[in-house]
Amino acid sequence: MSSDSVADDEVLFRSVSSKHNQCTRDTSGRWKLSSQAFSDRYYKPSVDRAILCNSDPSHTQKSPKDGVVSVIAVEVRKIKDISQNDDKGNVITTHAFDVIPDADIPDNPAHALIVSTPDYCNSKVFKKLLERLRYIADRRGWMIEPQE
Amino acid sequence: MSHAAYATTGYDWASPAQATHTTTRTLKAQVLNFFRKPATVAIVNEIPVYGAIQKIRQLQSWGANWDGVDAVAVNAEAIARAIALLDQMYSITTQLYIDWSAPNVTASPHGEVVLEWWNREKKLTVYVSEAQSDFVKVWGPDIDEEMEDGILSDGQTASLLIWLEA
Repeated sequence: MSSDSVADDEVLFRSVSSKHNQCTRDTSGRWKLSSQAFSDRYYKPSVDRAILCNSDPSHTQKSPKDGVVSVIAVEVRKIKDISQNDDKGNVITTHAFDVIPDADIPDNPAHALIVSTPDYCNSKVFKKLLERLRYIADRRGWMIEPQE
Repeated sequence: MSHAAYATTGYDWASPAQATHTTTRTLKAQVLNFFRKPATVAIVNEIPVYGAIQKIRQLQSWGANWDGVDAVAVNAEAIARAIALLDQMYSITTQLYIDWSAPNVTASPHGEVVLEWWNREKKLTVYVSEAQSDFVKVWGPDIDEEMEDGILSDGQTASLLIWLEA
């Protein structure tokens, strides 16, 4: 498998911090994902490609108590319903999302980024993307459950 | 002590019409205890909104790079605004007889306080920054058809809480 592209069927891991309340237990004790589970200061959520880390979700854990969730690359690429409108409600831009390898972290060759084309012109689109990613990951369930 | 703290302390007590001699004595004891520091803390801890406010205050300790990937420190003004907003939301729920549920309290990597509520398929996320509060309503995965966002105005707060509860 080449590391210069991410195949549609690749599983992508994401670490979720319970310490920072990126997940919370509901009244039945089930862990729910916060929208912030996929947030990123630079609007490019980072993930690890399972195929390049022996499909071991613990590779992605930032700390032993963190949980790990997953999405499939094609699920991210299928998100095509985020648009930006003008004041009259006319569509100005429709965003397309992709998963690209990130070679900037040499000690983690599995690292990849979820990116938008075009770039976000404000945070509104990104906030909706976070809700969608949360929904996708929540449906797939935990690879590793977080600990309190 | 906040307005909500006083209100909830009163809310927890029996109404005068229901009070028996015994409960009246109990109330007197509670009033006396209220002004002694340890008891005040104990009573305040029972207030439903207090736990969430404490969690918001704890965000003050989330300095720069709290997420390990360059996050901005949580903004102090955003924390103050989030506490005021939560106090307002709690007051609205008591006035409208809406069940109060504590939000998940976290922060965005851009220094905002993030409050999240779930009710079945519905989810409400509120981002509080130093300048304004934004909301995202979610009732399904379709971004165009099942999500709505906007700037949270005073007049909208009640309607969002009613929507979440319905």
